[in-house]
Amino acid sequence: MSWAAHEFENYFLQKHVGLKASFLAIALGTFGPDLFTKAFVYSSDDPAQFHRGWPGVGFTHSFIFGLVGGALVLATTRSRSWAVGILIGQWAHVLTDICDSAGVMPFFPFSTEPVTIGMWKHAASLGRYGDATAYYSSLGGVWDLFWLLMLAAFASRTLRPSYFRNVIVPADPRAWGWLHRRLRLPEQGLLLLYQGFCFYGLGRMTAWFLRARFADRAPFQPVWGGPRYVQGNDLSDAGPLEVIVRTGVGGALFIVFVLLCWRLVLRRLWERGEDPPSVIRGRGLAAIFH
Amino acid sequence: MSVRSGTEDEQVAPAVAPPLVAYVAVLVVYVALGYLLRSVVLNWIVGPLFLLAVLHLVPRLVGRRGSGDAG
Repeated sequence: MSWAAHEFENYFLQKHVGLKASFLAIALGTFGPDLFTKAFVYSSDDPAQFHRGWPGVGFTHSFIFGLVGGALVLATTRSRSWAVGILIGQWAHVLTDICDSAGVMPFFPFSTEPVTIGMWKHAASLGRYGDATAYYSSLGGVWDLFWLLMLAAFASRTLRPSYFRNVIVPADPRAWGWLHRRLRLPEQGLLLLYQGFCFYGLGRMTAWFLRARFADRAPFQPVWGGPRYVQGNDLSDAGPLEVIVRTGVGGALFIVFVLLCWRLVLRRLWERGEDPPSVIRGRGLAAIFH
Repeated sequence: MSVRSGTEDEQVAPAVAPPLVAYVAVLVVYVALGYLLRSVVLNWIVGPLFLLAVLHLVPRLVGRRGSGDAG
């Protein structure tokens, strides 16, 4: 699993969608896969299987989970910005978690084959603290740092007050307006809430890394498949070719399923959906990205 | 900033981000607390709200108390 990378990704995604997705929805989308499951993962008998596999709650780390979530949001709120935000946030989470040894089932239920590049070990079997220590002793911690640097290099302007005022609020005036009224927060308070996700990512990355080095004294092993002191927990014995074939078939079926859903349901939901006044959407990918 | 919701438009004072040194100071405090207390502060609820709480809510609360005491 990835830790702080999920917080940094939000701003990076926001930069590419601009006014076309709600930041709060993106944040909820990236939290989504772990939000209702993580508390149970550490207490299960086989955390990796439970978290990412099937049977288990691995379907939360699949593209269909984000699609269903986005569709439900669109059906109930009519907000396109929220539907798109939930979708791309959740999909970003799925893609990011491909990096650990447990992997994800991106095309569940059409393929239950875990897809992983095994960059670092999924270490939930060590409990929450052990998991954090292992993550920040492996390339996982470097992955977080990579996303922080990406944010700093290419999307730092998304953290500025002017961006918050000109893009973040106009993309989702209802939610920010509600927070403004209900919590009696002035713009500075809302800005701090917005920046708080980045702050949290930076803070927890630093704190867990320091704990791993100085409190737990775990060896720092930023090598592929590390840390070495954690046992491997791959969910599948399939070879690379098997994984590619199964995932390819699953992916093709998933695309057919999405197209079918679009023609039968999603297009109607999208057409009756609403956008904030300042949002102008194009067609195809231009409906989401700018 | 115009925060629009429903039929309501409200004009509020322009945002002024706190100085960089304030962010750094809060980050140092958060990391220190996170190092010592772990699950109490390094979680999905306290974490994202910490910046707002320390740089906005606490000063507002203290300000109110101060003005209340003075009155």
